[in-house]
Amino acid sequence: MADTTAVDGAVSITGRTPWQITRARLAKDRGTMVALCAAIFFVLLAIAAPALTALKLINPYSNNDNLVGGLGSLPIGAFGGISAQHWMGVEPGTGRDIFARVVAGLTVSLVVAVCAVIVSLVLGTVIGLVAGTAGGRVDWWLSRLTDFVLSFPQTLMLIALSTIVIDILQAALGSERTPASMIFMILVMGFFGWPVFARVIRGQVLSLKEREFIEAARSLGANRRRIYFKELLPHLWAPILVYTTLVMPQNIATEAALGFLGVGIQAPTPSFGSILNDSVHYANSDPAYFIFPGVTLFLVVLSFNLLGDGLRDALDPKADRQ
Amino acid sequence: MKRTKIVAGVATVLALGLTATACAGGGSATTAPSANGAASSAPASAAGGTLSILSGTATEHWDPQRVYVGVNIEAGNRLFTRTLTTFGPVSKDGDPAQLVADAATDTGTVSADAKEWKFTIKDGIKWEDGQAVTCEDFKYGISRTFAVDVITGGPNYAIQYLDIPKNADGSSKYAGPYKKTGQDLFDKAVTCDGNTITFKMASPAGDFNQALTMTAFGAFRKDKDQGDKSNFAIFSNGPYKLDGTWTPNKGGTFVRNDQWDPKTDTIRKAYPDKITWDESLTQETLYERLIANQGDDQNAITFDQAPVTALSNVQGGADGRYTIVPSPYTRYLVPNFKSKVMSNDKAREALALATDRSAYVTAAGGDQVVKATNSLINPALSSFPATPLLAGDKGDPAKAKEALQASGLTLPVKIKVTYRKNDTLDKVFAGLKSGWDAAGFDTELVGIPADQYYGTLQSPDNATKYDAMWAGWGADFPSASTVIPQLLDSRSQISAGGPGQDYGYFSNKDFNAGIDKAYALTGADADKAWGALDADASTKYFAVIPLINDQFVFVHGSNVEGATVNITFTGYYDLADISVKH
Repeated sequence: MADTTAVDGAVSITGRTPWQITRARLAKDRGTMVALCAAIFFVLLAIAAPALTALKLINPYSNNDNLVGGLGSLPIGAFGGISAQHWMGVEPGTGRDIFARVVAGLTVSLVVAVCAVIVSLVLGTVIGLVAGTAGGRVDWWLSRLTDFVLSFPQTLMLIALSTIVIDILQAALGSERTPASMIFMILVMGFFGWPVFARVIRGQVLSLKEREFIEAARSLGANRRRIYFKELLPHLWAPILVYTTLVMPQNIATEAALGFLGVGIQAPTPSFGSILNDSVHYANSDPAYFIFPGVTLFLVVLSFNLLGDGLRDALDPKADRQ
Repeated sequence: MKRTKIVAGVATVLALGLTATACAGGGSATTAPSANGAASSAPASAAGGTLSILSGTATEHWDPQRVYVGVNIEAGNRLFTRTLTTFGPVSKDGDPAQLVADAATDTGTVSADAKEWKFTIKDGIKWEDGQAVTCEDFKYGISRTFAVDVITGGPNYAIQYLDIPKNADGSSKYAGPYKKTGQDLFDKAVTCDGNTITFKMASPAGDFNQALTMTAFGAFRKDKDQGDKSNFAIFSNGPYKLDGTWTPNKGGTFVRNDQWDPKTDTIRKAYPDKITWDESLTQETLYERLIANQGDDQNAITFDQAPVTALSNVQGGADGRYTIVPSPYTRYLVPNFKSKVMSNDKAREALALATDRSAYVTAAGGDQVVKATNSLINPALSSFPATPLLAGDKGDPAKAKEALQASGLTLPVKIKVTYRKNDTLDKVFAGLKSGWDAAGFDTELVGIPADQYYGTLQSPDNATKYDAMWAGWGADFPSASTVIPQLLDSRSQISAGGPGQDYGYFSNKDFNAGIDKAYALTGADADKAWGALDADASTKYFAVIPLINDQFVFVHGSNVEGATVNITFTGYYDLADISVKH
């Protein structure tokens, strides 16, 4: 391939920061850009949902008795009662707007997923950094701890602990059930998520700490804190970002699975899991009820997954997709 | 013993959805006979074939003294446990079932003070091994109810009715036939003179012969009694006996009992040669099978009502093979008198006024299968008072708010409401919450799993935990004396062990005095008294907020004939005169 910049020397080689390189790579990757836009859209929707509910633009909790009927109170009209007001139709039995419930469920899902990722990320980064730099016995113990937590069946733990711990949390916080369940899921999913981060960070640190600039800093007498925050961390943002976007969809899916099994967010607060759990009973009689929320959940998880993959490709200098 | 023809037109009514059954006003319980197409007559050749029963509910007990679930009372009585009196099948023109004599020659002779009942046992009733069923067998059977440590699960009407002194804690001084403590007391209360059995009542009991329809008052042979081990060891004196053994969670097969003499029995036609009972299914799969109507499932019936989610499929896929009947239950809300908020009269009134029953109706399947009510007593009972709704079926949040503001509590008033968790009630309570919140409450909903639900309500530890609770109750036999006192008589319900069925700890002297008065009355006077108590409970004391009466939807296979739901007697398909085409 011809190297145009070298032809007449007039075009100077401008230095680009790693972020600029990444941005340029991302801009070229159409799939990832679409995923990014979708992810941003979902996040904005989730952030706006409480305000939209307060302004009564969406009504996840109001019944519409007139929109359901017949034996079994199924939605009146085609495709689960789709209309200009109810884009995804209405819920059998109540006539509640499914779009509103999906959006409200999205908020709960994303809040849980994001907060859990942050918990995982902070724990994982600290443990990975310490294990990588300290080495020796500390590294051995922390790595065994990582293995130990990684081998715990997370979903099973969530189910087994849910009732008791949520009760305790609810009593301790004096709150209602929904915030208590959310905090419970954030803590447990966050706790079981850190080993992923810790392993990657530790690996990165192990290879970074042998590099010349770290040795230079050390020989200049930089203290441990400076090495952590000024020398190591800036090089760790890339893997942290990639794994954050990859763990996010996992968390969203786990939250939905818990809701489906009935141990997550409790009615009347909507969540993907409880909506899907209810809708499978209507698979024959009202398939739209299953399809719309199901497809939405699929798109949310897919967009974050594609975004994570795309980011990894863009951030990894060795990746070459041309 | 020929079956008369089912009146023409029944099939048409059925096709129209058969919805007018519950709201027949007053108390006349109409029922919905189901038939399939033109083949509605069942001549003598109806005898034979195999009836298959599909069940999604595990039988807990078959021991007659331990049976308390409607399905098992019905099936036990129709198949293998004859009782002194029973309810006959529904007549072909839909008149409600009547109390009739079964193992006794008549429905009993009561003394003028309603404290002594006499029955004569028919000749020719035999156990499956050929021995005659005697007065002593009935007496022994009834005595087993008193062995409360072994014979668990059954109704305690024998303990309640019979004239046997009680200990301070309410337990009987007679400890049953195993321990034999106080045997002389029982021998005095129940006496046998040849074929005549005499019961002495503790207090006047004009409806005792209705209580006798429960299999708990059936005969039991002393030499066949293995205590707890008899739970599934069926020893028959009816038209069918168990073939082999009963396997819990799987089921069993019933075959003809050749010792049963149809001449002694005017109720049971016993058409099928064989009845298979499969209880290893789930409601959803069994309804898919019944709707599909393939192979042996054409000969099938079920005692499980159609789940809400299957209703629309029933309508489309089982046309002419389904029946909608009023369930024996009333679903209601109990404000907790031990809670700070609900001990306030105005707060209870506000809760009642703001209750949106229409949300319940829609979420539970629509107005074809759910009817709003403001009475605890089921419309199927003659004492049903038909108390008008306080503020229509939607409730009146504005009026409720006024009441709540008059209560002196600071709005919004935080309340915690609990219900038995399932998908339907999740939706129901989300709707009810909207109504309450609009009236100034701030409702927190707590769904409790079904297997822990009533246990949680009845635990004294939770006495102050919830402000209002969902509950459901159905009469044991068609008398309001099995409703009002069972739910609201603080004297018989509340103890150190918990609230019994008086989940809200309602305790009112005037009300209890009214219960005593109603017990002493009979016939229409008793109905009126019970009805008035019911209306007081829901509109004066706000001790309960009755919500709805649901209707059960049952489906049967296309080969089944005479599948009629007997709402007077337990409310399920009546096995007495059911047959299969073969």
